[in-house]
Amino acid sequence: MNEASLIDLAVEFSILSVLSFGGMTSALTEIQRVVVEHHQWMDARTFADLYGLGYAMPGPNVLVVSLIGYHVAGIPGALVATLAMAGPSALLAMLVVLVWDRFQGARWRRVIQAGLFPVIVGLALSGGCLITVAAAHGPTAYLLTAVTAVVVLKTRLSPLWLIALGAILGLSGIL
Amino acid sequence: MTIVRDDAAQARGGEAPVHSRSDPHRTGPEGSPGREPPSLATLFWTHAMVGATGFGGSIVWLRRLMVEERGWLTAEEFNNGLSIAQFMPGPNVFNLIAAVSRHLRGTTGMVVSSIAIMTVPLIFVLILGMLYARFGDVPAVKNAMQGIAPVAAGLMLSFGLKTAAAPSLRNPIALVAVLTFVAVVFFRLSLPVVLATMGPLGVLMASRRVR
Repeated sequence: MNEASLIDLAVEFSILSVLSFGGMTSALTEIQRVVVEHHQWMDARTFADLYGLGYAMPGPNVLVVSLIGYHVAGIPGALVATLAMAGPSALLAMLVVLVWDRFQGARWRRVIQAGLFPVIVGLALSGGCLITVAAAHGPTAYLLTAVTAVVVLKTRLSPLWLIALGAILGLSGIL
Repeated sequence: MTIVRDDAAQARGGEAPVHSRSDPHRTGPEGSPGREPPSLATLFWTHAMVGATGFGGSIVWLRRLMVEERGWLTAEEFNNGLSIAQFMPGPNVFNLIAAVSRHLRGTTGMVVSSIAIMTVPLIFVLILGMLYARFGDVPAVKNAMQGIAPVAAGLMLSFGLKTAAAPSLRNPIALVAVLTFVAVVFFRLSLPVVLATMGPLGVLMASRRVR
């Protein structure tokens, strides 16, 4: 591919990086608009396939962006798009933490921390519920989800064993 | 909220009440005394492992690594980092790594960890991307993923329950957690909307309680 598309990838995803409040999930609509409608790097079907591929994989969900970059401009495209999506927002977070640390013990800081935390809890719990429903293809899937949650909460067993179990069940057609 | 078994690391740091956060030795910019931060090599390979295995969201596995297995962070330090990460724009895994980097070898640690966590999945996904470009679909991968998805969901659920078990989540502030949950699950409000409404509500409620 050419340098122009690399620059486009860098610019578009840097902008998305600092504007995507709520992380990758909420950025998706805007990413689709930029990628499919504005630049017409791919059609909606390909976008959906890449999205599915990126989300199914282990690792940070920014992988969706890596795949888009790869589709547009090969491996350099993947690297540029990933860095553009993750870099600016991470630097911003780092700056905020630097400021944050200067107000160690300030009352307003403790108020903000105590006030934002329950939102994080609500998001974590709702994320778990939504993913459970989305992943469930029947009673066996719900059972597997419940078993996983209990095992992780109650034992020291590495979840990798459960991942392996899930993969085997999936490959054997049980799930 | 559900009572979950406390692990050692959580018991160590998690029980500090909200108003005792002012102790400078707890979360100094250089990390806490008595807790040696991991080496860069350790950071690299542990984050690479998290990246390679992070089904169900890398943050779930990062908590496991940093708080439960290695004890690099207390549950409270992790939760504070997570709050900043979620409320800032951008992919929250990298925000989280940035937000806790002051405990884990600073900017260098942040860059090393961020690269490490992406390396393996990027290679994975690029191989799959190439296969996709050539064959369109890979059924075996799809089947395996279908089986892994419920496990990933279980991991995410347990993460939510562990986070909810934090002692700082007391009445009436826990109400904000419930409202957030209802807003997302039942009303399907978008995340930016939820953050922009529930965040200020939580802060308002906390401002009446925190001294």
